[in-house]
Amino acid sequence: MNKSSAPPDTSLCLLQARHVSHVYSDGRVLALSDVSISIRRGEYVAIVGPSGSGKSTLLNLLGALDQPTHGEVLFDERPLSAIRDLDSLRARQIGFVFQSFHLLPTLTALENVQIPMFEGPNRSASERIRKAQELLTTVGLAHRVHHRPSQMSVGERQRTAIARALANDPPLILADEPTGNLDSHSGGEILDLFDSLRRDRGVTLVVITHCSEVARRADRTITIRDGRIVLHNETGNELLHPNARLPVGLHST
Amino acid sequence: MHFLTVVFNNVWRRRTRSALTCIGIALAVATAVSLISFANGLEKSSLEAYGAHGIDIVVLRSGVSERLTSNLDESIADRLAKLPGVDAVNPSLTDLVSFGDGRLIGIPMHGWPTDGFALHSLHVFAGQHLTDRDCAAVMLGQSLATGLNKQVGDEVEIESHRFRIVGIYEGANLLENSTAIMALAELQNLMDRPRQVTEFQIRLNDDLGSAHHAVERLRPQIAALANAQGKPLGLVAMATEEYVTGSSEVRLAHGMAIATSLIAVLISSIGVLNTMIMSVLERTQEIGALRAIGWRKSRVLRMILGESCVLSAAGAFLGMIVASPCTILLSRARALEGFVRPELSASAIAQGLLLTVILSIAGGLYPAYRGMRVAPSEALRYE
Repeated sequence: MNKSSAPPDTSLCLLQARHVSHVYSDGRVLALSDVSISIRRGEYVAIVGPSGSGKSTLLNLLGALDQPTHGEVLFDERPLSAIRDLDSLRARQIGFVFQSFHLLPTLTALENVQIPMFEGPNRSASERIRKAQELLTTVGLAHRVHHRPSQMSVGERQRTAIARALANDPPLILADEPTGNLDSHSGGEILDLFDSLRRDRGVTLVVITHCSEVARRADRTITIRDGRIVLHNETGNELLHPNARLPVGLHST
Repeated sequence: MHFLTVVFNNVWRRRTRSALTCIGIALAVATAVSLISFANGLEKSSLEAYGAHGIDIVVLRSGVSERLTSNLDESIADRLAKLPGVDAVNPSLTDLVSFGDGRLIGIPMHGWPTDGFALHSLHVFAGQHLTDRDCAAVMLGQSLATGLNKQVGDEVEIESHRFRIVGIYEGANLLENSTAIMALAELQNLMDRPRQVTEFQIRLNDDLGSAHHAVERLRPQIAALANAQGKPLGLVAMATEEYVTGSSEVRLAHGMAIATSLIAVLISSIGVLNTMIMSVLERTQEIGALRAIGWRKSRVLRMILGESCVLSAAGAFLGMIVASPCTILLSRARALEGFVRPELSASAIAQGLLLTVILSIAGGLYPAYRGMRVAPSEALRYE
């Protein structure tokens, strides 16, 4: 369902985790244990699992927000530990979408989308504005560019956050519960938007979710429990069956 | 959108808190500027007074920190007068006296020769200058006469002795208007300091050119003056400006102004620190998200320091506006009225601005450091 009709080149791995383990700094919580995954370019991967299973920890490691205690994460075949400027990597190669959006409340949608551009490729102020307008049009918010987050619906806020994630044209989008705060209608709009981003821009999507609909649309679903991968569905198709048994941590919408 | 838009919007986000912080900064800056203005005013008034009397050099005992304790024999005046380039010497005894039954104490009283150039440079607008023939006579400055409600011909009690007012003068400034003058010999008797003076005021010949060079030429000659046994008299000569700037009153005024200003700045810095640290703590997740989407630590640092600078600049601007009326109001305070006219100069404003820079950096540095240290994964962990 809604799979990309012309899948992008999937011959190369964009993102890899090799035998990754992570213990939080207090030394008592083993959040991930020997996790290995590979994510190809243009793929749409859903990571599911119950709360506290290590999904967000994995996303943080994949997004260069944290360093694994053991193992290695590679972006475009380069180990993150060997990349000196991880800020630049996050700014230019990765777009983040958060459950709580994290838009700056005093800025308009147009201004919020420009926030990552300060660390992106060198653009003039007018180019930044033009780019932000283009992205807001892409996410269907051309009529809301001068509205602040408080003046928008939650769905519109999340679409603004997605436009922000695309500000520097990253090849990878990492989304942590992107539909978690949305109603089913708004959530559906966001998933349609993700589909169109894959189709039109060829972005790779890694989405953490509790929502079965998100998982159903993914190419692959990785189920994590107690810090380990317990199920690896190569296709989400089996989840399309109405009587399909949902993996742990998933609920239908 | 410019980066500063983010900075300004963050300050604007908590309007009341930002406004209160600005008011705190404004008061600190206004206090600093006012106090510095008063110290500058005192210095300028003193310089004006000496300048108005044509005094180029002041000679006093070397090593004294307080000119009232300088103790010199008045006969040295004759030797000073013989030095090349010296036009006239005015031996001066200054002491603090009490008026009436002790209601008014610590009034500067000058004892000057009745034929000296200093006395005759005064503008007497009521009565006349002191003369040799006057006995138990005194001249009052305008402000002092007004404060005592006395006129020419009235009597005043000074150190339990009665003196007749022969003239009221308009001094070069408010400071001088609050003094009194009597004949040198009379003040020496009154204060039991026979033949003593506190300083010699020297007027140089007009044809000497640069006063500075003349002073430099005379300084070693004056320092070398010795008594009959060849023992140095222990004199030091200073150009008027040097003397005024180095006087204990002016140094004390500047010291007090700086010290009080620094305390005001410290308190305001704590206000800025409090505001900024609260702001950073409230926005931990937001800063974490900014770091996650690629903002460098240095950008977060610049953002928070920028907010601190905007707050301080707004406070400083307000403080500069408030400083002028604040200074005028303070100068009308009972304790200061008629004593010194504040000098709201460019240097006072520059010093106020310097304090603002200190404020911004001191108040914003730690919160900026805290913000910079926010780990995105930790900040977003409890989303």
